Amino acid sequence: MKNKKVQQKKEELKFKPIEHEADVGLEVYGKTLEELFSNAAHGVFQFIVDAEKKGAEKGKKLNIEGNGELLINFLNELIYLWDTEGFIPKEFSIKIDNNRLTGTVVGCVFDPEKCTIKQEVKAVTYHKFSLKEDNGLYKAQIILDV
Amino acid sequence: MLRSVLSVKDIKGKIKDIIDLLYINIPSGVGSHRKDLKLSRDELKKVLKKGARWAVENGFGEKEDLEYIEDTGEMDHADPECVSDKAFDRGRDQLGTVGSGNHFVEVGYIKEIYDREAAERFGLFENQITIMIHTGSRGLGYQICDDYIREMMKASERYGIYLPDRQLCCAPIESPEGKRYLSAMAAAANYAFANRQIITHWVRETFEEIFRMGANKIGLSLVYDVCHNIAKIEKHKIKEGKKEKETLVCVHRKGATRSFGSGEDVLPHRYKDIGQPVLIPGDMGRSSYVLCGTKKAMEETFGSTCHGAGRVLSRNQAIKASKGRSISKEMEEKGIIVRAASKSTLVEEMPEAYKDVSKVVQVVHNAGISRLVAKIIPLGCIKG
Repeated sequence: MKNKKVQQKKEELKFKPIEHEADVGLEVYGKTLEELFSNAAHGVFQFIVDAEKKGAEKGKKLNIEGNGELLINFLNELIYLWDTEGFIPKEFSIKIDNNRLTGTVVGCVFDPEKCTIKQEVKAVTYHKFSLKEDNGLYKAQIILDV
Repeated sequence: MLRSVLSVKDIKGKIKDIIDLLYINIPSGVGSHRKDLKLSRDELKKVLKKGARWAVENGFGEKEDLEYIEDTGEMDHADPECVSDKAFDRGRDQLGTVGSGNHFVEVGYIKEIYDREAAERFGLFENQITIMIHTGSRGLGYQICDDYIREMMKASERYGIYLPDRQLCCAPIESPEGKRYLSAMAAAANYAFANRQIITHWVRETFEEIFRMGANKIGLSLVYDVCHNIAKIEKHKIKEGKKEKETLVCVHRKGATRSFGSGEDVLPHRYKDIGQPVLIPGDMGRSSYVLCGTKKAMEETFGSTCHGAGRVLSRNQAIKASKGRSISKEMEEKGIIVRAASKSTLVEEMPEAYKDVSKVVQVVHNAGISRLVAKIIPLGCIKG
């Protein structure tokens, strides 16, 4: 009974921060891989910037290979887009197949009047990284280098 | 670290203006950069090759500065060809920016001198105004790291290296992958040297503007610019049986900085017979220290010392501990002016999140791997 309750709670939860001495960590959940990836992106960006006041205005095509770990590559690609273009992802429409992610992301571009910078995330690391499926729920642990 | 000819009494009543102007002149790079410094790919290539020399040749600072930078601010094995297009993209707008996290530009003054001879050699005196700049290779470096981790992951497999944690992926130094990485890392180090040199120049401009006098009169000169978190190929004495032999080794100073003692060829002429300045910044509310490298460090730690105090609270714990408080106000009550691009940086960097650096440097001093020279008290800082 207790387990069922915990399971339910996790299904509602998209991500939660986890303790790490020097960096920051996240535990991310999703009913599908696609949902987990999208939740992970939102989890990472909540550390970077608050852009609630801005709606989606720009789309980007994504085509990412799983050379290494697909989730890490995907998140680092988003950090690269943020760092070079100030792009903040909002909604994903993605498909994951054969260790390749394709699809689009819509988001907005950083505007100092409407967005608040939180901190710089250098990269998503492989340190203590895990991605598992348990009873139809995907769960990943990621540590961010900040 | 820069020294000046100014004393605390000279900047009384001006510190707020200085910090405000530093904050305007030196962008954090987190969502902001100077519009007057935009680089083409070719120009950025030159930065990666020439390091601080590029900055000086382009009007940022003086030729004399270069002597007081580790490796004269230019690692000659840097190869821009080993740096990806993505790293170039991230580096283009971030040269001359501080970044967030524990990066900062801090104005302080010398509270206490412990070693008169070394302090004199470093040009330091009691109540002197100093400036500490802590930043590195920014997004370019982070991207190089990310690119090479992927490469090293494959290399580890190829060379049959067991990894207890995948972030520890690696390759033999002499392998093609190892050599390429060292060349890319040196390019990032050169970018970092240029970055700090440009910021040094803007610090000088800021003081000139506030004091309405030439930089020479304010005497903002480089005490030393030294790397941390870097791997370098160096000659050290290694025991082989009963004999000691000079051997080429790769010293990775992660969380550590170089602390060469006297007699080392690579040191600036002025410091050669005393040892290099070792800079250990503390948190923004307490103090920082200048130490001097020792021969004992050469024997025991490959000429290395810690580069900071180290955290005692995780970032999450710091956020919890700061609930309902204004860190910036608390600092101001202590007489320290802080300007930060982001509130979360301030919270995560609050003094109690760090170990007491005074205790840390005491351990370093007692272990003999660096010796105490001077204590610096912060007056104000800018952060990302």
